[in-house]
Amino acid sequence: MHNILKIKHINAFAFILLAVFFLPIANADLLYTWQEYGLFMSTSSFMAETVSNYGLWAWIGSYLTQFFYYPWLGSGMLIAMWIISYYLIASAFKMQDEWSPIALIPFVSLLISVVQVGYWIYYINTPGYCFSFSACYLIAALITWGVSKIGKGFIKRRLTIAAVFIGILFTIGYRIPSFSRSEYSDFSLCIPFIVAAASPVFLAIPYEKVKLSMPLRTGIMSGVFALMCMATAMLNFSNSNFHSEMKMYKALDESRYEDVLKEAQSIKGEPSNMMVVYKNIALLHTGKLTDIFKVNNCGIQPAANDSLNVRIAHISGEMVYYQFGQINFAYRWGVENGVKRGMTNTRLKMLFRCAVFNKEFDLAHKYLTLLKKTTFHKDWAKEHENWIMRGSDFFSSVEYENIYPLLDEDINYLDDDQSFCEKWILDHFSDLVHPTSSKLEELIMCTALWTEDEYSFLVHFYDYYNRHKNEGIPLVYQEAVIMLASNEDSPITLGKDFRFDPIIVERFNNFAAEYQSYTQKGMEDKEIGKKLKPMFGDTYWWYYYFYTDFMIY
Amino acid sequence: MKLRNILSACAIALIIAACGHPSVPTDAKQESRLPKIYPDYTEVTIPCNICPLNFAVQEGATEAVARLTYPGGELTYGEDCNILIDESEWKDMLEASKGKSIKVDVFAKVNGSWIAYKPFNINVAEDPIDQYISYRLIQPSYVAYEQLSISQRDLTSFEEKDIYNNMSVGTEKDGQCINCHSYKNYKTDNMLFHMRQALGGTMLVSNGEVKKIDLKTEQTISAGVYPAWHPTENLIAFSTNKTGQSFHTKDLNKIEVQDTYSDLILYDVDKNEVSIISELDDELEVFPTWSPDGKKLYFCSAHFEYLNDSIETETEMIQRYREVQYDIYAADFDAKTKTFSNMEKIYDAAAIGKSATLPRISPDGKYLLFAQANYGCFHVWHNDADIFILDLNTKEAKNLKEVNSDRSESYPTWSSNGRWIMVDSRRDDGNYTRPFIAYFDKNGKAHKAFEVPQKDPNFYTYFLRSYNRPEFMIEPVKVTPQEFAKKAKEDAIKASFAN
Repeated sequence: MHNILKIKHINAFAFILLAVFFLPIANADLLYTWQEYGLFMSTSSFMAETVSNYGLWAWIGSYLTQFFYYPWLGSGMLIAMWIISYYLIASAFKMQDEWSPIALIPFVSLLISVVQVGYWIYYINTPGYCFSFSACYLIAALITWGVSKIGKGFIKRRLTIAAVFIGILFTIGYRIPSFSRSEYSDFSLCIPFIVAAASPVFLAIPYEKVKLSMPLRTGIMSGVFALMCMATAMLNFSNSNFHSEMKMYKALDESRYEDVLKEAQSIKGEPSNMMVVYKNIALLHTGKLTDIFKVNNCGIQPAANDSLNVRIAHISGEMVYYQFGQINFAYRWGVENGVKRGMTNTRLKMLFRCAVFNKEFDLAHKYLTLLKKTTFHKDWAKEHENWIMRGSDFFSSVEYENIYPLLDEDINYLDDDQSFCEKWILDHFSDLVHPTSSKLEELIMCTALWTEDEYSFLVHFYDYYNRHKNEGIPLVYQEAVIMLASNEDSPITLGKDFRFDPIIVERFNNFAAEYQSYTQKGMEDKEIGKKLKPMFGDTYWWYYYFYTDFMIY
Repeated sequence: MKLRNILSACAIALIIAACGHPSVPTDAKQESRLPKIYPDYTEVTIPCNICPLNFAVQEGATEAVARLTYPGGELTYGEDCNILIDESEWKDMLEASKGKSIKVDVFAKVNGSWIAYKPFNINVAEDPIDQYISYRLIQPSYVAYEQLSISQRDLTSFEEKDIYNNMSVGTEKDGQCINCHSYKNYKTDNMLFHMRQALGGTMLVSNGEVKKIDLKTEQTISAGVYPAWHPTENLIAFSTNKTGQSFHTKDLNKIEVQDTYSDLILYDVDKNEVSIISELDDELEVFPTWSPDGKKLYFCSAHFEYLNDSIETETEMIQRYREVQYDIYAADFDAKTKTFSNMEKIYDAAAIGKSATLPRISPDGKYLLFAQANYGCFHVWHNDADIFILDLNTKEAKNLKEVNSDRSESYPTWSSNGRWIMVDSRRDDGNYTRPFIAYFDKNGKAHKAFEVPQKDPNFYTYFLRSYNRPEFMIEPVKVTPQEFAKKAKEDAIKASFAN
């Protein structure tokens, strides 16, 4: 009983709780994304290439990262590695029980290194990032522990053990990763790795010589542990949009469009542009794109944890283009991102899909063959093999049904999105003249409204109205035309050109009157927007007049 | 002692089992068709000094065995579905089969039953191939690049080494694009490649000495791009190009690489001096290559007039990309005066609605290989691109069907003895370029092309990089990657312009 209640074990238990909270509980989506944006294949060429370019630990780390497919499983393995390392270190340094929280410093640092990355997860090209450093640390701890047990005299001194540990750590390949790309870099993200590597210095301090009363020592150590918890909480990148984006991406990848919409509706603050794009993809494929302004369409910039210049194209350009039926551009970003940030499970899947849509079946087969060499994505590969083997499976798939109507536009031209995929998609669709499907027509008209290009919208609306006037015109179209008709120089007259629901006309008049009255009171648009949002936030008018911070990225 | 004996016996048995040859199934059912194997080595003609042609049997089998019958005997191989041939046995086999054939019988166990397929031959030519090839390994990317290498491969073994790896001096903003490796007369004491972006310059090895040169002058539109070493003089012809890239929204060619302007320059290595070869208005000159005697310079040129002053030339080029068609020209060269004269069009591709690029003259000076597609200059991305051969005496061009596929073929080149042709082909999957070699016999006939063998026959399937611009060499590059990296960090020596 006494043994179980040792402070060392209590620390270990407390650390497990801390890690469990910050890994599978608070960051399950992040961990899943780690493995989606990673790759491990059981081939000798993958091993040779990974080891020669990134080192053995990257290969080991890549192998272990795939277990984040089940976040609890991967977390369990990572935490186990840390706990084993903790006991080895505590034993090697002969840490007295009450000072043992000091031995947790490197593992709290490594925990922070996993949960602090934020948008860098999409940019760092360090295969096996989550595990490679910890695995290296574990082996260094094991060797050091062995040395401490075998060695005698001088070797057994703590300072020597610390030196041996650090020496072994760097000799076997522990390196501080680089958080830099183009002109952006963030040294602060390297600090946990430096702390973890330097922590043997803290362990070498002869704490037993510090003459403090037991309660004081316990108090100090409790404080140290509390500080570690606080540091983890503060450095954990908890931005809700960041997490929602990952959830929405996963749902899109699995064609769970309703779940994308649920996530979009659940957010409390302002969504990021990426979330708006994901939301509109889901609306498009569920036939509800005309509800575009009913769920917040006012995107903001991503809350990157530093000056990182995040672009939608870099994070999920391939997915976004694919969902909008722009297969060549989707393929391009799959390859481009693979080159810059490493080929990954999710990119291989996207490249496969693009190849199938482009009828490049040999190419599709190549990507499937690679996916079949993974542990957790081989089933996906086998499932999708029928897309190639039996065309009927592809033609009856949800993805084909959703995306094919958007493909049917035969005009080819040369272009470049300059890495702004959202802008390219909006410009491309709002400029299209001859829609070849009703879905494409809806997309063209809604992107025109999304970009507040009401005249492009109107070009299509005349024809649309004549075909659909007896079936009911979507609310958002009516809102747009009513607003346009209210302009002094408007080319259209309500009643004469179009007949709409008088309730909507009245609502617009109320909106205009309220807007005018606030303006007359000298209020600024930003303030007026806030006042009118509860009543009119779901209308095109509100979006048109008060969403003025449309910043593409 | 007893235990030791048992263990020794077990170990020997294991070694024998590991090194042994599988037995050929006796109860196999005969099929009248050829087996599906990858790479396709059926009925190919190979050099007498090439490494083993390992292949995978792709019949959905659980096991496969191949029996190779050659003039000296027969040997069997098979590991799961891979046929992995022992290197020293293969060497003996080739030696015994020079000018003859190796017969290959393939057996596969499909659904529990053995099947024997129609045998095929591997013909062994008496002509050897240059021992080395080099290529740039690059992901078939668009704008981004990372992890590029120019590598050299020993064709008599599976050994591959980096000549230079762009990761050795920096990544991201400090990263480099490396390209256009080129050799003088297949030897490596005089060679070059370019580095772009960070630490940019042309890495030039001149008589074994490494230099870094900046070939951009105020009078030329860019630094040197596509190079061609003069066979006897210390001169290099380059194109200078203002190049852009744009992307197809639908077309499966996916990428267009276009020159809005391009000219030709001559670089005098000894004088470190650049002069103009051709800078004609409305002509896009590119891809220079010398005749083996150095008396003629061949190159491609497209006539293109910009018509719309209201838009930028890049935009107009993008809009009219299909109108750009290259013809092949030749000009006489006087090595004493270093002057060019009598420029003539020797192949009018545009007249037949085509675009001819990447010319290469055979070492005997009789033939010219080139890549032809419907338009443009960057045929590696053009699915309709094929290799053509022009008889320089008759001026007749023909499609070299034996080396072509229904996907892109480009970058043709000759071995130093003129008996082997190497091309880049995307026939495997349409996107990843692989080097293919074909025999070109004394009668001017090309034979079926085969993919450069790899130790693991499935290597190309798993490999996500393209083999760009394959070149033959008769010796390895002697400058080490570290020496290149060291030189890369130095400032480039600025070339001067000769009026």
